[in-house]
Amino acid sequence: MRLSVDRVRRARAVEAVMKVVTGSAAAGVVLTAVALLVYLLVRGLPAMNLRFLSGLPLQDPPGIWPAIVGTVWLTVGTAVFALPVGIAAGIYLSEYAKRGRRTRLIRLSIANMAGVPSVVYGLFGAALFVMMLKLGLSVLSGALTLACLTLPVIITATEEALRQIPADLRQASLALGATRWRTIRKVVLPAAAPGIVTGSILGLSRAAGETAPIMFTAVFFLTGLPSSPLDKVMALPYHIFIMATQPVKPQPLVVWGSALVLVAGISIVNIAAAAWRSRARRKVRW
Amino acid sequence: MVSLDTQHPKCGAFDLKDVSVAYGKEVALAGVDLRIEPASVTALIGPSGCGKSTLLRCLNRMNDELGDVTVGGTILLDCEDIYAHDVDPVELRMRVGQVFQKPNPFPMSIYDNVAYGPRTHGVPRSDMDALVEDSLRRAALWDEVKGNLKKHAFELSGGQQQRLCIARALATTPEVLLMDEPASALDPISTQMIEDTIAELKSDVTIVIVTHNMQQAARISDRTAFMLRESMDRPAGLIEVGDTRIIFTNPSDKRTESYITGRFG
Repeated sequence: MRLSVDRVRRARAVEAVMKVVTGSAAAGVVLTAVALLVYLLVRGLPAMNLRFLSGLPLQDPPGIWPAIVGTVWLTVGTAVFALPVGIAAGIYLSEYAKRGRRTRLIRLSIANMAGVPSVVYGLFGAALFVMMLKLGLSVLSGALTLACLTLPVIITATEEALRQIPADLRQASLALGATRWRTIRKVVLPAAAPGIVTGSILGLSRAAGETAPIMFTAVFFLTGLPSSPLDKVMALPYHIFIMATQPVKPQPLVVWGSALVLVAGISIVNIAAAAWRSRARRKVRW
Repeated sequence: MVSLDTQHPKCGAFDLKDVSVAYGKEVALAGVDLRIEPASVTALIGPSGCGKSTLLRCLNRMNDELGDVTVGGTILLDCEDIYAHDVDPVELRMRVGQVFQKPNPFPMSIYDNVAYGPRTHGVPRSDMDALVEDSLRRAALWDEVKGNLKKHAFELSGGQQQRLCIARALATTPEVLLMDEPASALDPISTQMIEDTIAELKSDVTIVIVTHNMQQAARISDRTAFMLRESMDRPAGLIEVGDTRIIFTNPSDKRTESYITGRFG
């Protein structure tokens, strides 16, 4: 009897300790996020004015307009390539693939793609798109490279979102004489859209902030606005990298200002997606 | 054992001859001979695991969708072999509708739920309103929803959702409606409404219903088929089929009698 009372007491003590340990870890995360954001605002806000956002890099004080435009081009280009292929592959894995060697091979490939460091994608993109396919240093090469990097995220997000949809709904549609594809298009995809969009935007956000994959494929330190997808561009992450590492004279204001613009842009898109998702989800509940 | 009713020269709504089902290598159901009479309600009863739902899914080839399922024997729908090579399961399922155990409306409006099947099969838009109304009337849901067809289906109660699913299945004007324990997830009042609906429907649709509830089978069906899997090393089979009153009052097989008198299952 004595023994079991001790055990209960010990279990209670461990419980209390673990609550504190896990809670501190969670608090640490919040603290880091807040610190990052506050520091970014403190350093970046002084740079914010219309001249900085809409001006050119060589004026005084310098602006970052071409880098903003370049990042938008690259991200939209990435979406154009990565979304159709990624969503289609996710649909295949969730709705059509049977368990077996072929499916295992596909999953292994996706896991490997997700594990490849982004700088390796940069080298790969330079070799394949820039040199072999002769697309040169261009938005197109950069977007294709970033799409490779983003694909695993989009595929996995799509597959997960589709798996959330109850099998009942597919059965109901098939039993009404709908084909598999019609079932997917009319019932499964619309219901899974919020999850797919969230995952895709998360993947594209990462792509927008990547430096390594574009530095050998798409960007140039100083260049004008692109007039076609075959032009090279400036981009915010690369601009930050260059201004922070090899300026003629250090320009911390440009570095932190660019960083703030990049994070703010990504946040705005993410918040918009979250708002749309919560509106869409309010209607659909299982 | 059971034999086909040879006194009818023509085919039944369904004629099953020596039907068997295997999941992978395991034969789950074997030797089923069964005629489903047209414009009547046939109840499939039996304890869990006796192959009722498996048999039901053979009739609209939903087993095809499960992968690695083999169906043997012959199944004729109005004299046509539904497993013949030239039969498209998609077309078959327009003629043989199904209502599932749990209400499973699509996440869309009431109207769009009912219109889903007809749209799939290219019914023109001009006929749609009438078809939707007619289907909802037949499923006894029209009076409750007529003012608000744009309402999301998930806002309906469970019983209303199930009647919506019936309306949705009726909208493709099937010859046969398969129902897999359609009231088992519903309260008694909703169950009553589903049963009333079935009674209304059977004059123009053949109904095959799987049910765990023997009182329900006795109340609503014209014919009853009793199925049983006697041991796990042998496949399930059909024990007895006949007029519901006879099955429930004077079954010819001892096993049927013990089941309906509640001695097992």
